[in-house]
Amino acid sequence: MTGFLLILRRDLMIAWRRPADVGNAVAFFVLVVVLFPLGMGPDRALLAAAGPGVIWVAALLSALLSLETVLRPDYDDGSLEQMAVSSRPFLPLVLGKIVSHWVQSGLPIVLLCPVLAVMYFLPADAIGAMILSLLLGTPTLSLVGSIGVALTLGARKGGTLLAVLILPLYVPVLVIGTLMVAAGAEGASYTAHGLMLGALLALAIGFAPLATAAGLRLSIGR
Amino acid sequence: MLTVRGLTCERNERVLFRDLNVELAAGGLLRIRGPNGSGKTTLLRILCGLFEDFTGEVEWADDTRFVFAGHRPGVNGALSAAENLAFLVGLAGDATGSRVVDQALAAVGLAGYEDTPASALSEGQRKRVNLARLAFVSPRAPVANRASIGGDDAAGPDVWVLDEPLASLDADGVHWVERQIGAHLDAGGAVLFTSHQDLQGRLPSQTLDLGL
Repeated sequence: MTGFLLILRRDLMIAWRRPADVGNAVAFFVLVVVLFPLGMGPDRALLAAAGPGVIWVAALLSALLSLETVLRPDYDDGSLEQMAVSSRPFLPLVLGKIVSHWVQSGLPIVLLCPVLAVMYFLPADAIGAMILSLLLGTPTLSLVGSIGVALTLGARKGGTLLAVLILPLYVPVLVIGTLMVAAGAEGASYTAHGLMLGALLALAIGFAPLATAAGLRLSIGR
Repeated sequence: MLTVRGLTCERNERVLFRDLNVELAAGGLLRIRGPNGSGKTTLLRILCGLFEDFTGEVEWADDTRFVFAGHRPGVNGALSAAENLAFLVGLAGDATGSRVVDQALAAVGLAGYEDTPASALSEGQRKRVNLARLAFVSPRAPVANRASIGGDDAAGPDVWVLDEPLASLDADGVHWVERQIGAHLDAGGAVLFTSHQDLQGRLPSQTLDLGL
């Protein structure tokens, strides 16, 4: 078995046994998205206008919330150390960690969003755009976020630092993602937005694992 | 297997060691001694490539594989003892069947705990899960010396780097680790360890005193 699959299989097994760890972040996403329309009242136009932004902000904060659960326990119990000294190349192991974060936190959001989007009176076109934008955007959130986690593992209360470090990098994904859904809602073409999200994802795939691996080595070697 | 030349490390504006030279050959047993805070763990981490803020040279011979057992056991509470051990062994790139893993766990006295979540194990038992990797001895060993585990298809690393392997183990555990180290050395492996206790029955071929 390759190192990548070894990590992915182990992490998903852990997530299966301890659903509360990462389920928290998904539950947070659902709660925010569900509570918002209740607070805003049943104004169709208002909800349809706010929907894309609310769903994307909730997805982004939920990713931020769950980022640490994938790397922090391994750092604390010494597994990360063992990965770093193992005879396997480190990079595929790190990539396994990042992908496992996406499968646990990004994928459920992509699957849940069509159901939740109904509460915002979004037209069918907008829902298609939303699924596509989240599918392209959430992996970027996992990739970029893992750099921040890798760098803040050494700090005991790294949560705030992580947010300050990572949120600015999340902003382009948030802006383009929201615009893409809005374009879908107006019946306009959203190909350009999709391509831009894809480009951001390609960039993140290229650089984030390298940066995360380097950051993890720094955090371990202290 | 391992050559260290002119190793100097400074941490928090304190020199831990200066101009350290070590030569570890097959069958060598190196004990690193010193009071708390003298840099024993840092030295081991440098040798394993986990800590890079030093000057000097650390050179592993080609194809030398090592296993590192540190203070933290690398055991996840959500996984069972067997799953944890299979993962640790898998990280080293060794394929293992569940039978071999169970045998290794039995060797460290964890028979019957294979499917117990590690969160229900004690500190010492988690340490044993980690040390069960030592049941897989050097691939160069003659079959008779390969302890009782695995037979031909079980191969382990050449050099064991052990940070306080005897800490938090009971008398039986200590005895088992000592026996495994003996078997590993006889098989042509090498061992580096830090400890505040002497190993019974085996004298280190070299001793390194830090913090003097």
